[in-house]
Amino acid sequence: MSLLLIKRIEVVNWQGYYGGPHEFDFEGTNGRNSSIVYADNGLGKTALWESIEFVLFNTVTKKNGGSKGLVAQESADKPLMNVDAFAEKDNQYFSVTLYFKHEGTDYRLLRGWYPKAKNMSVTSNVDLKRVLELEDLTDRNNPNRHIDEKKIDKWIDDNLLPRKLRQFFLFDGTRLEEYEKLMNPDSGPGEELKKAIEALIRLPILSNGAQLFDELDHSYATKLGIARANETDDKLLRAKILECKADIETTEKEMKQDLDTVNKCTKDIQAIDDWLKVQKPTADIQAELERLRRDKETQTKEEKRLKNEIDSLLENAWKTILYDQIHECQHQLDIELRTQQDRREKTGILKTKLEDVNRHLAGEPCTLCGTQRKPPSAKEKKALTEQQDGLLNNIDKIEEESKYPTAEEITRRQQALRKLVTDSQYLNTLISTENEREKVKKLLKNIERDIRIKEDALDDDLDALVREKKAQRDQLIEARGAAKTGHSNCKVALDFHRGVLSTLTSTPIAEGDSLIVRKHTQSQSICAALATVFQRTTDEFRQEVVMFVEEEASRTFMGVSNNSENYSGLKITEDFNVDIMDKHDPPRRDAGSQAQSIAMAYSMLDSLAKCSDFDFPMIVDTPGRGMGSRMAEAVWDYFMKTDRQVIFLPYDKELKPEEGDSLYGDYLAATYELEKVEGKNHTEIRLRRNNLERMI
Amino acid sequence: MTGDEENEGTGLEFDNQYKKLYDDLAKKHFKNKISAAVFALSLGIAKNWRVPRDEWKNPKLREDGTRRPHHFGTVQQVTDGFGDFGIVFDALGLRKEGHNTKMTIDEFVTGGLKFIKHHGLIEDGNLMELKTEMPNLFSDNAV
Repeated sequence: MSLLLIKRIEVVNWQGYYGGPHEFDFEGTNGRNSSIVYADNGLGKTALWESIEFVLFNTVTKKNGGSKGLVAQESADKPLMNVDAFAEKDNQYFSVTLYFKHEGTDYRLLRGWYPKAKNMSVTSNVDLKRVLELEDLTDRNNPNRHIDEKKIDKWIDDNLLPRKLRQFFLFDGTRLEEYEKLMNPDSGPGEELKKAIEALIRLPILSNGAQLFDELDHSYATKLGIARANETDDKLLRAKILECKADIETTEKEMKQDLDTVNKCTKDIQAIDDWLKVQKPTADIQAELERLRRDKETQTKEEKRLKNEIDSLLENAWKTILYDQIHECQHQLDIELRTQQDRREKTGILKTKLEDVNRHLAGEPCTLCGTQRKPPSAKEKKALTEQQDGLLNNIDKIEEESKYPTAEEITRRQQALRKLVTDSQYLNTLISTENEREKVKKLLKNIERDIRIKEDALDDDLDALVREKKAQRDQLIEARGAAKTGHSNCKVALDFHRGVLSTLTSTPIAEGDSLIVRKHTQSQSICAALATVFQRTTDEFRQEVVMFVEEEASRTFMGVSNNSENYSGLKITEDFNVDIMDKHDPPRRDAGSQAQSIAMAYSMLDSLAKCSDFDFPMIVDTPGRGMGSRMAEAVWDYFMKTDRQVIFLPYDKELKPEEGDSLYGDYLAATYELEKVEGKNHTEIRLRRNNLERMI
Repeated sequence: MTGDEENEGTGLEFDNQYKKLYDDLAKKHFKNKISAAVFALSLGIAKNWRVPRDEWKNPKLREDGTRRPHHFGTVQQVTDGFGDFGIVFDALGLRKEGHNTKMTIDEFVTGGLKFIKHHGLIEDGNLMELKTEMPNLFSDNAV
C-alpha cells in the first residue's frame, strides 16, 4: 500500500483542457488505485503528465531544456494556459489541483496563475500572480488546516518528492535515451546514478555523520596542539605548533570566505535566473536579435566575398568578351601565313623553270633529267625568250606581293595575339556568382528587416536591464568558479597543515600530561574512531542498498524482459554502470538490444523507487515507447498487477483502449480516454472503466 | 608610335557624357580605372558599338564651360597593360580610313560605355543582360 496515493487531479484551462475543472479520479475500490489514460498523440496525455510536475514543482520542463511559458505571448509553442482561455478577458487563468493521501492524511494542493487584479486584462506573464494552497482535509473545522504558503514548496520536497528525483517517478517514454545514459553513461562512471541512489536512500545522512566526526577529529587535533604548545618546554616545537595552528586558522577562514562567496553567488545567480524567467519575452527577443545579428555578420561577409569574386571575374572578363574576335584574328593570321608559304613555294617553282629555260637557251642538258639538248633554233629561241620574260614577270609580281607582311611583322602579330587570347570562353561563373550574391543580398535585407522589427519590439529600458543582469550573472559565475577553485586549493593546504600538526602533536599520553591534553587526546581518538565507523557503515550500507536495488531490479527485469530465458539479471558495477548479465557461469555482460535497455531502465527506476524513502506513484507517459508488443505486454502486466499506484498514459498504438480495458480493467480504479471536442482544439475526458470509490 | 598618332596625340579619350558612369564603374568593380575602360572597349568591339567622335556630346562639365572629351590614359598604357588592339582592328578591318589606333580605341570605348549605360550593367544584378546580348559567351548550362 502506497504511503502516498494520488486520489484526484483537476485541471482548469490547462494546456489543451479548456475551462473545467476537468477531473481524473484514481481512488478505486478494494485498493485499486492505478489507472490508464488512453489517447492519440496531441490529445492531452503529456499535458496531464505535466500537470503533476507543475502542481508539485511550479514548472514544466521542456525536452530540450528550459521551462514552458505560462501564456501564449511568452511561449508560442504550447503554453501552460489554454490559448483560447488566454484570448478571453474573463478567463485568463489556469490551475491544477491534486488531491492526495499522505501517511494517512488527505490533502488538497492547488497551484495556478491568476490575474494580478480583478478585471485586469492579461497581456503577458508579468500580469499574472501565483496562487499556491496546501490544505489538510482531515478536519475542515481546523483553522490551521492551511499550510503556510511559504513552506509548501519545501514541504513537498521533504515529504512528497524531491525535485531532483522526479525523473524516477514521473517517467517519460520519449525521454528514454536520457535514462539509458543514466544507466550506461558514455564517459566516466555512473556518477549520476550513484548520486541518485544515494539521494534516494538518504545516504547523505550517514556520509554527513562521517564528515562531521572527521571535522571534530581535526578540531580536537588543533585544540590538542594548542594545549601541547602551552605545556611544552621545547620552544621550537611550540613555535612550530603555533605557526601550524595559525596556518590552519587562516586557511579555514579563507575556506569559509570562499564557501560564503560560492553560496552568495549561487543565491544571487538564482535570483537573477528567477528575474530573467519573468523577463523571458525580453530575453527571447534579445536572443533572437543576437542570432539575427550573427546571421547578418555571416551573410555580410559572404556578400563581400561574392562581390570580390565578381570584381576579380570582371577584371579579366574583357578577354573572354573578345574571345571570338581574337580567335578570328588568329585565323586571319593563319591564312596570311599560309598565303606567304604558298607564294614562297610558287616562286621556287617558277625559278626552277626559269633556270631550265636559261639552260635550254644556252643549249645545256635538261635540269631535271639531264637529257642533252641541241642549241635552240631561232624560232625556239624566240619562244624560250618569251617564256623567260613571262616567268621573270611572274616572279617579280609574287615577290612584290610577299614583301608584306614580313616575317618580323607576323611574329609581332603572333606575340601580340598571344597576349590577348584566353582559354576562358564563357562568363557562366560571373553570372552564377552574381545570382548567388543577389540571393544573399535579399537574405540580408530580410534579416535587417527582422532586426528592425525585433528592435522595435524591444523595450529599451528593459533591454538594458536584462543585459545588465546577464552581465552580472556572467560575473557571478566567474566569481563562483574562482571561489570554488580557491576552496579546493585551501582544502589541499588545510590537509597539509593538519598533517603537520598531527605529526607535531601525536605523542601518546604520557605521565606528565595535563588533564586538558589527556582530554583532547581522548576526544580526538574517539572522533577519529567514530568517523571511521561511520565511513565503514556508510560503505557497507551503500553496498547493501546497491545489492538490494540490484536484486529488485533484476527481479523486475526478468519479469518484463521478453528474452529473460537468456539472462540471469542485472548487475550494478563498481563504477555504477548497469549491465545485463547472461546465463553463463560466471555470468557475463550482454550487450542487449535497445528494447532490453529500455526494460533495464524501467526495472532500475522501479527498483530505485521501491528502495527509496519516497513512496510516490509511478506516472509514465508513452510507456511502450521503443519496445516490441511482447515486451510492452510484459511491462503492462507487471506494473498493472503490482500494489504500487501506477498511472500509465499510452497512445493508441501502444495499447488499444478495448484491449487495455479487457486485460487490466479489473485491476484498475478507472480507465480514461482523451478526445477532441468536436470542431475545437480542446480536450475532453471520457471515463471508460469505473471501479471508483467516488462517482464522478 | 606612328606618325598619325604623333599628330593626333596618344592620349585616349571618350565622350565625357559617360564620365560619371565610368568613374562609378571603375570605383565599383575595378582595381584601376583603365581596366574599366578596357572592359568597355571589349564590349564596344564585341558588339561593334562605336560612337564616331563627331557624334560625341561632351557636355559642359567644367566651370569654364569648355566641352572636352574625358582623357583616361594612353595607347601605350593599354598596349603594355592589356595588349595591342591595333592588331585586332587591322585583322578585323575595324580601322576606318585615316584612323589610327588611338582614334579607334576612343570610338569603341565610348561605344562600350554607351552599351553599359543602355543595359544598366552598373546596377547590381544586371550582368545577366550580358547573356541576352552575347549568348555566345555562355555555355548551355549557364544560369
